[in-house]
Amino acid sequence: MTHRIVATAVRLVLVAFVAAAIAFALVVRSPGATDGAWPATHRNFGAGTCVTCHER
Amino acid sequence: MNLLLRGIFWFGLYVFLVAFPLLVGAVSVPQSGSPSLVVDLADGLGYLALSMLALEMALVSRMDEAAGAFGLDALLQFHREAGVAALLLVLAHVVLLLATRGYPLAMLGPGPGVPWPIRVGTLSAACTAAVVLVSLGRRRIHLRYETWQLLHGILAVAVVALGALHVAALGRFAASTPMRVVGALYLALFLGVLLRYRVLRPLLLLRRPWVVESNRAERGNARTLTLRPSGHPGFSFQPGQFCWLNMGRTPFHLEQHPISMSSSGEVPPAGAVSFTIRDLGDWSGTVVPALRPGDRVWVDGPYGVFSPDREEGPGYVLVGGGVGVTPLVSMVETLADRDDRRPVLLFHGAHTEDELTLAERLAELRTRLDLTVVPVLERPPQGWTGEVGLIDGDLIRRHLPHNHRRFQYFVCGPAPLMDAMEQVLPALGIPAGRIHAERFDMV
Repeated sequence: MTHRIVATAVRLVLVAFVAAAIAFALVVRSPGATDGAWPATHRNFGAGTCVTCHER
Repeated sequence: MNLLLRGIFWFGLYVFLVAFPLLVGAVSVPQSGSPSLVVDLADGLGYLALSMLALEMALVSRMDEAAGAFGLDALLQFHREAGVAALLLVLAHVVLLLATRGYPLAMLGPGPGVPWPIRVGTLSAACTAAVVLVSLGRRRIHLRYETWQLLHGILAVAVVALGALHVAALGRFAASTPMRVVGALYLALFLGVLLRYRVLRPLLLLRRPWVVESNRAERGNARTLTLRPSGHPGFSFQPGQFCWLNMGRTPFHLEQHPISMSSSGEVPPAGAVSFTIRDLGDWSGTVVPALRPGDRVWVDGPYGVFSPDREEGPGYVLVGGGVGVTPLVSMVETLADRDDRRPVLLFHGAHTEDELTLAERLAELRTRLDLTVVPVLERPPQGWTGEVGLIDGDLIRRHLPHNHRRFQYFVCGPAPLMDAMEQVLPALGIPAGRIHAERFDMV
């Protein structure tokens, strides 16, 4: 019985966390930003550093 | 606080600790600056995955407070399944970032142009996959338990360390001051758990050695180790509980095994405690048989909530398969020592008569309490008049007393027996709250 309860609890937690991540994305999204905000040559992910050329 | 409230508290704390960094991120960085909702979703999943992975060790670090609420075997199962869930979140994080074309596929490779923060993130994800897959497939790939234990520990630390580096260097949200504070707190929590689990606890055990008093062969290719405390009063325990046995030169030795006590819980605090261990072809077949009286052993425990001391009832039904009978024998021993007159019905399953571990001990105990033992053999010898086959619903029903619904049920054995009993006992009308199970192959 415990085995099933634990398995169910983990599934519920996983669903809840995915829902939390979706809510997070909706809250922090930047409506003004577009795909063009990051030029193809500069992928400005992460602390302002371009992951392709390391330029800040 | 009762067990249910304690369980709710610890479960709630776990969910809060996993989700808290996300909450702080959303508050401290209200605008991500990302052009894509999917990128933000991927980031959110990444933060959740890292929090879950950082808390994985805490789940199995033998915190008495949490283990007392759920039972260590339930926590181990949660740890295992939460690890799989965290891996799914990690994979979703990677796939979503690739799908938005924010990162080219080559970023996952070993190419020279890949920035180091992404390289360590990829390595962390690979270690997560390795630790989960190796753990799930350990038996299938015939990996020795001891090797797996070492590998698991190293990979787990690598997962969290590399993941934390990845987030600290790359995470857009991690750059904010509140997130840096949260990151530092979680790192301190992780290191604190690691320190407590791998340094402080062994240091305490170092002052509490045990020595082998006897090492006796039993039926079913098992051995009963009787240990006595050396220079300290030992401990009292509830029948059905278990300890982690470590036979290294010091308690810092990484290899340790969860073993149920098979002796009575009514021993004096300074008395000896017995453990019955079946030879499974690993440590149990090499190190255990070689132990001689006077040899030193480190005993961490007792742990577990699988005990009649926590469940009052007018009688007990015990179902044990193979060496899973060990904690049940401890229960019967204890009830006998307490002159308990309540009826006890014990189903003892094994392949052959020679594998009925501790059968002689149970036969002796029948004279001291209202105990009925039902041995069930898959391959009975000629002339066997007892039960034959597997323990199933029909077999159990034939032996149950009329007031069986009010009894407490304890089941311990290999996975197929446990899975079967999860179906059979409720079908016999036994309320879920009176069915207690412990899987001895929990690690």
